[in-house]
Amino acid sequence: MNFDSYKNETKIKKWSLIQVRPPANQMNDRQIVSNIPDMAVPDNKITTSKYSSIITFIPLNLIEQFSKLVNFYFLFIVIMQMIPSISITNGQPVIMGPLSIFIFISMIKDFVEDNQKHKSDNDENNRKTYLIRANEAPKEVIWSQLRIGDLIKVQKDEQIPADILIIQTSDKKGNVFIDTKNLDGDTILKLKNIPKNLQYFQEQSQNALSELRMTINYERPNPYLYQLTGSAEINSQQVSLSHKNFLLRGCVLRNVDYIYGIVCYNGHDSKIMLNQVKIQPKSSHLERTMNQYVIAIFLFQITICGLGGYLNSYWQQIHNSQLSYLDILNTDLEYNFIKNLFIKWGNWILILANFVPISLIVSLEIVQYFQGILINMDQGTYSAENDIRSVVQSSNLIGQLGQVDYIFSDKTGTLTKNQMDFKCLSVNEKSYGKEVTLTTEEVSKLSQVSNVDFRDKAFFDDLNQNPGMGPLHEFLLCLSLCHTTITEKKNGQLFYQASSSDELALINFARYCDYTFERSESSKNIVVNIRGDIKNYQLLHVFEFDSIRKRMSVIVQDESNQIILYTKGADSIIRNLMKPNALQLQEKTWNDLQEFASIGLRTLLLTKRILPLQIYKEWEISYLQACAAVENRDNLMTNSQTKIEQELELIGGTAVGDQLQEDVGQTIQYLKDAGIKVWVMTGDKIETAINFGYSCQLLNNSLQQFIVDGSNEEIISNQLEKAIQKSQNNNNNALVISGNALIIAMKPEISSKLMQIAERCEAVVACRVSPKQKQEIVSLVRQNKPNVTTLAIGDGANDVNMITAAHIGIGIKGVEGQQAARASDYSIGEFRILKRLILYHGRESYRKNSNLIYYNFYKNILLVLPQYWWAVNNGFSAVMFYDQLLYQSYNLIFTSLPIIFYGIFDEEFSGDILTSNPSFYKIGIKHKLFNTKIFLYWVLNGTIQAAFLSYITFQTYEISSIYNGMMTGLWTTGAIVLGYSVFISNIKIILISNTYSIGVIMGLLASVFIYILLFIFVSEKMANSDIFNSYSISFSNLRFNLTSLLVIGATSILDFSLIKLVQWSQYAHVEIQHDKVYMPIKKQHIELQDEQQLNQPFPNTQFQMNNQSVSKGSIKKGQINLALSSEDN
Amino acid sequence: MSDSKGFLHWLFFKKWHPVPSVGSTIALFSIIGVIFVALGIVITVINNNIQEVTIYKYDQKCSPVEYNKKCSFMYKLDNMKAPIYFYYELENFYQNHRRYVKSKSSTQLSGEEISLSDAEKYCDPIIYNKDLEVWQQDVYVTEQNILIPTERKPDDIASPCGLIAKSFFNDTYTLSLEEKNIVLNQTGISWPNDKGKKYKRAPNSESTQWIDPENEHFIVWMRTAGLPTFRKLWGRIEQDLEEGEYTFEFENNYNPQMFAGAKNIVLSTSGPFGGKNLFLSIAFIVVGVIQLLIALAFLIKKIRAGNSFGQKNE
Repeated sequence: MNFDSYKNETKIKKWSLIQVRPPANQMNDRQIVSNIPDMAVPDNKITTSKYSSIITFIPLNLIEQFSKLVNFYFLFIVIMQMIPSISITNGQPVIMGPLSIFIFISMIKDFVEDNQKHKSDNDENNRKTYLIRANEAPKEVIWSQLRIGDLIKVQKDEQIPADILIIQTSDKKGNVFIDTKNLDGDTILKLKNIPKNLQYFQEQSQNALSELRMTINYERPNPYLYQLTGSAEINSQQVSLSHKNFLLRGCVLRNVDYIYGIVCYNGHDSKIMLNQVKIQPKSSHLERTMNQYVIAIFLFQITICGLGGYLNSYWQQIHNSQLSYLDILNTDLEYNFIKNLFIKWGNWILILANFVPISLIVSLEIVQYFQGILINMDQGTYSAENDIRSVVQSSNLIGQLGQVDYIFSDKTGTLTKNQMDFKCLSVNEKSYGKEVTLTTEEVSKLSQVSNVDFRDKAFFDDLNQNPGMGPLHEFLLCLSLCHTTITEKKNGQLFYQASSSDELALINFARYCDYTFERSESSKNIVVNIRGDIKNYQLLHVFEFDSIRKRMSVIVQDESNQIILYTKGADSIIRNLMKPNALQLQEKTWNDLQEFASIGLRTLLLTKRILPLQIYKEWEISYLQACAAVENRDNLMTNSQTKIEQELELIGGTAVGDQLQEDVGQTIQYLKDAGIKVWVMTGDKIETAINFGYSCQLLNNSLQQFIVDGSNEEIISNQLEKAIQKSQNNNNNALVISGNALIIAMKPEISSKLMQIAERCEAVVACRVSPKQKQEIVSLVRQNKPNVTTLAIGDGANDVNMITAAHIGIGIKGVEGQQAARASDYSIGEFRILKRLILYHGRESYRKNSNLIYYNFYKNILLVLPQYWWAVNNGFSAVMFYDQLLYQSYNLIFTSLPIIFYGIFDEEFSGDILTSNPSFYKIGIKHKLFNTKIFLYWVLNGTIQAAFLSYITFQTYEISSIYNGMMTGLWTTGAIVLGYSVFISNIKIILISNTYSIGVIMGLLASVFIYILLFIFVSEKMANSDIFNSYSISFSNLRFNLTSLLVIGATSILDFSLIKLVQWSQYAHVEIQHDKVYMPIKKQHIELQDEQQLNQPFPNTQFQMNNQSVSKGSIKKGQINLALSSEDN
Repeated sequence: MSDSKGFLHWLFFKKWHPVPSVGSTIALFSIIGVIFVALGIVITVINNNIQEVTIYKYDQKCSPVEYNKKCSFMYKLDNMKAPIYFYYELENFYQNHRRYVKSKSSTQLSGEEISLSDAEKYCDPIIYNKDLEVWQQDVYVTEQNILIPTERKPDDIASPCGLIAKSFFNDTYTLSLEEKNIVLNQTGISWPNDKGKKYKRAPNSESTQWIDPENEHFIVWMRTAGLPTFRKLWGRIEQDLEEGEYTFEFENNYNPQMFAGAKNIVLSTSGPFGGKNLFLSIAFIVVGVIQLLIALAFLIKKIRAGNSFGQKNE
């Protein structure tokens, strides 16, 4: 075979110019020969940074900078400033000064961000692994050097550097355990193994392996973690390969000392890279509206500049005979009405160039960045329990946190702790677990295990009656055998690594009852310690749990050679597989489970089937065939499994419960009070979901409840119709809808009805929802209501779609790994933190960022418009009366710092007040602060103040002498006007601020002080400047003081009255609650819990609460806590 | 680290959160309003103590009206206290027009030579000697405002060039009472430091420049005014004037017809905040009254709306 003739790499032409790699789905299927690297396929290097180096960074980032509307506008101004006939600055592009500084700041920010990615890429690319190439000594190389076809060795607890095919492991049976947390967020260990027919590689030496020539055919790269099939050919023996034989990049090797493997996908072809969520940058409402305002203000500017040009031409026509001192000749452009109009138009655009605020984007970005840091530093957003700080990943969405209309929440792990506790069971027509009869002392004598909340003495009494036999024995045996848990010994202690938290609870319960699962030996033997008696069970087959089959089974052979199938699974599925006997037992167990479910517990049925050897042997042949099939293997296996899982006999039922996170109820109540519609999406069935809804305050009896659970379009349509009628003019509704009904209701014909009713509901519970549907629901709401802000919160990998689909995605860092947190815009430790994040940080940022945007427009209007107003005195002939140096420093120095300090530090209400007065949040939902009306108010405010400024200054300075009989001139008066613009716009900060700190005041003083210093400098030192000498003649006299007083009196002080008027009207009817009740309750809660555990018959607060009628009455805010309900008891 | 953290905390997180009540705001506005009105009244009184006499269109007082001729007229003045400032005032002259205001070279005025390209850039449309007024083309105006005839090449760069310089106001005045000359001090009429720093004569001023840039009337003229009606200081009378018929003699050089305007003479004394300014006194009173009205409006609203008006925070 000619190994150079690999055809794994193809290129396609892009724009008929450059050759690029095709997307993964257009690549060739792969063929490699082991130990012959394909050098045509790129190496294992990954690049996630946006820019590859500093050389490409500068041009590419510059393009990006100038694709921002505002920056592009100023680029246009730069060009205009260089056209001599239009330029007001003698052809010098002076705006380049501030523009380049602001762009430079932006670029530094991008560079730092990209550099971090560079660093993490480098860290990843430079990790070490052990490469064995033929004819070369084995050596340690960095990850990025690996090619497909290479043989590598990975040690225990190391990360796998590429997607590899296992060919040797230190485990005798050829098994490997890997931790896939980086990949899918799953914390359980997964079993992989050497292809069955290649087991003999196990005996080969490293050298022999490196000389192995095995042809491997496998599919083109794809992002699906469990789709990887292929075949290997060696010595003309064909071996089929499945995803079970491959280890994926990013996984961590556990439980075995080393493995050898052949690199099959590397670099960006590996599954982890193909799975990398390309986080589309989300833009906030604030930014989008801001851009509209920029366009609007630009159009306004163009218009008034055009008007200025026209007025000047018109004025000149009238005054033509009176302007001999201007020496306008017939040949001059200014002589021609139209030409003059256009030149003056251009002049005016340059004079008013700063109408579009040059510093807006930069100051907004800086402020948002620091607001993000404050969120991160805030003790209120710190989850002490999990030691997790809130992390801001999209600081540009901070303002939008203050405008959330809809919250879509996952249930498990988000509202609950995702810690399953074993609660109840039903065996032999008896249900156990609802009573608490074991004393603490008695419990301390039992095995100490986690995830069990069971103190029913009756169970232990019954168990001890006939030890080692009977239904209870069967029940516990089933629990200790039917699972896929892996054990780990640490310091002589036994630890379980279960595939799900449910399973962990079950197996721990068995251990609690002294049925300890000790270990499984190489997947062949299960060792169980039953009350000190070690028993061995031979493990014949395991059918793993999957969400379609909703069950798992094991086939074991006990010491008496009896073959038994144990199956546990969802009651709805198992019920249909049952042998039709013992109907009474089935009925009773079924009812018990219903009862468990109705109090919010998750239930499972346990069954077994004793397999006669004959039946088992027959079945096994067909099953092994299915396992060996090359095509359609999974289906064949499933079918075969289903064949044996028949005629099951009932053992019993279990119920496990998830704990609500702290303060979930209060948080949801407050969010609802803030006017946010809360949707909880769960996989539970309707009854469980409704019950859960009550327990987390989502539902209560003051809400009219609509249940939509129809199975066809007509029924659902009718149910929705009815709900719409009943909910007329009433927003106190709640909707409970099943997943299936939801799919149907999302069809275009009905979806409008669904939205109509959903809009009137303050709470929606969607049950039996699949992960994909979660995202569809979010998208549906966004499509139907384009102006609302949606927020999705979840913790698991299955919430990622929903998180990326919503305007704001929040990830909870929890048990289920980091996937959701990584894809999110904000990641937090617990659900309750959402309250502070939204009601305080979101609301305040929305308020401050709105003002920051307005202010940036305002201060620039205050800067440029005095010239326009004054132009009535010179026929709009487009004179800029500011000194260029001072003028260009205005945005850069004189007015930049205070607004940034304002944006970061101002606080209208403290966090405690805002989190206990949800109604303050409504300003954001109702868009009360950031809307066109208020924008126009600010523009008008600036325009009028600019007129006052200009008129007052010229009338006081240019009418009569100011000092020693001397008159000022245009440039001096202009400098005074600029000074007042600086004063007034800094005073405006004082007016809009709610809090003042020494730093803020110093920032304000410094801004004004620097202006004065710079003015003195120009006026004393720069003899060529027009304002030379102006300081001494215009600043240090009584005229100046009087004028200042007058200007401030006519602008700022009048402003103050307007601001106060608005504020007082706004809060006229608001009673601020100082929610000091909250802390004591929390304390009380803890005390009560302790007390409960000692005295009360119920250990389970959640359970108890559900039996209570807490949720029946309307719940007053601030009084919602689990503890209070038990106090009612 | 903890120190700097403590410092930052002290700087930014020790916040003062004032919540002005309706009552205190009403009080504030009332006080400010009263202060403004009071200041307005004080300024009015001061304004009334400042004497200002304007002799409108003085060139029309000679008959016949002829230009580049000496002419005189009589004008009755009241008693005036020294120092009395002597201004000329132009109406409808747009010294603030874009084409005009930028037409000068600061470099040239500070005594340096400029290149032709600079002259074209800064002084357009008055670049060469030939672009100047006829009387300016072969003359040298000294610091003391004396004209010395001098030959000059028409194609040399004019110095000073530009429209502002070209339109230099060149009327001159003398004032006498009953044949007794009253000294019009024409030194120190420009801003301190302008002369000699911003405006400096070139090394061989006499042969290259048509006017000495250190001529103070010129410096005053070059400080372009912001409004189309403006006055410029021409001289200072450093003695008290008695009541009487004064003779104003002037050289009628500047023709107001070229800007369809008027030229006036203003004599003014000065107060603590400079010359008379009626705008200041009116504006203070108006702003003060508005503030009082706001206070009144708040008061009425407070009485009408009772407790539901205002912030109840703390």
